[in-house]
Amino acid sequence: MLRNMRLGASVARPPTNKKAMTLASLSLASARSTPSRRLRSAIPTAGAAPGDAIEEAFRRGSEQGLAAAYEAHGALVHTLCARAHPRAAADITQEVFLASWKARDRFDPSRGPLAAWLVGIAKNKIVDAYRKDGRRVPEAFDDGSRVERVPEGRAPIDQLADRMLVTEALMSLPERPRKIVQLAFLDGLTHEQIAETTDVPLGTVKSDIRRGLARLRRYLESAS
Amino acid sequence: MNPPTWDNPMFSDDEIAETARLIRPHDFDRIAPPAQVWNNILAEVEVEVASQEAFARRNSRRRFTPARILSAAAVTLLVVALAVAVATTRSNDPSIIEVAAASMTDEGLPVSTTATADARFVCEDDECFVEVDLTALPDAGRDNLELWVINRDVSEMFSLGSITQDDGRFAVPYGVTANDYPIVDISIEPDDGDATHSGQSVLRGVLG
Repeated sequence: MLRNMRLGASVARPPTNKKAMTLASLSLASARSTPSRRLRSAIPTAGAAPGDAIEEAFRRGSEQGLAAAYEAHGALVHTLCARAHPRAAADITQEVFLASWKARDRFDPSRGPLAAWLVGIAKNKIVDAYRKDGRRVPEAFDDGSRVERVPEGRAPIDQLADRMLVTEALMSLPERPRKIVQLAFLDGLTHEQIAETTDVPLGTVKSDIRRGLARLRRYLESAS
Repeated sequence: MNPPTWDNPMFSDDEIAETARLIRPHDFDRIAPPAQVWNNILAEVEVEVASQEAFARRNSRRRFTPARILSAAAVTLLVVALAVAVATTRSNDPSIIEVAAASMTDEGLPVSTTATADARFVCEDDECFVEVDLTALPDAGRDNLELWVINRDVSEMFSLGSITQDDGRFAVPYGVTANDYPIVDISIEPDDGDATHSGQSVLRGVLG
């Protein structure tokens, strides 16, 4: 049981780097640019086990279920925390998984994916962490991304979580629909242009987009 | 709150499309949590499970066979051991630990100064800081003095902030360690809107 549990978590060295930069002009040695230490998740993610199996194991409450959930979604939760509250990211991530494990009975897979449920918990914990310090949740998160337009009525933390959820939902799609949905929404191509560039029949493009939109909605709504 | 339905979705298609349009490539990046996070979760879960089991045991009428007594004792021991382990990892909070220290001089740097400085890399709870204490502020003219930590091959660095007085305490970004970023550096930075290092270092030392 407990003792046999080992998590084969891929542990990256901790992240950060708004200001990692090369230093060609500095007098110390030859500066070489190294890539950012952020992990780019292999696409598609979702781990080896199918999502449903993870969710089922998680609900049953075994430590293995929790380990599988952590392995599949630990990086998602931690990334959201690191972007929203860099100082306390590790602590909040820990709280999120403990809280989710204690509240596992309340997770209902029919209402949305586990990843989104965890993101919902993470948002609350992030806001709590700021309140506990007597601080206000920042109006904007300085993560190097200039967000030009914030959809009306969305708090910055929701907006940041939405971005994570959309990318998570996209990464959970099979390759063809993912590519088509990205071309439609991220690149703004029309259905006809997508059919032309990808050589996929227009009807398939439309149904991929419709299903992709449904997947995005499931992620977004179940975390709200 | 009513659950969203197809007739009454929380997000319109346009809102979803709008959110998707705001996605930038780095939104696909994922940062794995430090290994310690999982260890802590596991420790707390084990405490919880063990105490639930112990509670269940107490409330069930069972014959006290030697094996039962032994295993109850083992569970109790486990609970105590884990509680102690969790408590000791947590209870270092109030104390500030000096991780490394450095003497900073202008030796070999593009800008000279008669000032020197001491730097300490300290951690308190899980936050770390660099504390600097300068004998005097080097002359920066109308420009600013900025404190940096830099990795060994000088390929990555972090600005910790501006130095405006002869001592100060600067928070270090999460994940940056004295081991990975051992060079402390003070540079003269013109107010030109360029956030990168100017190359005009005036004091430097290596944490050890």
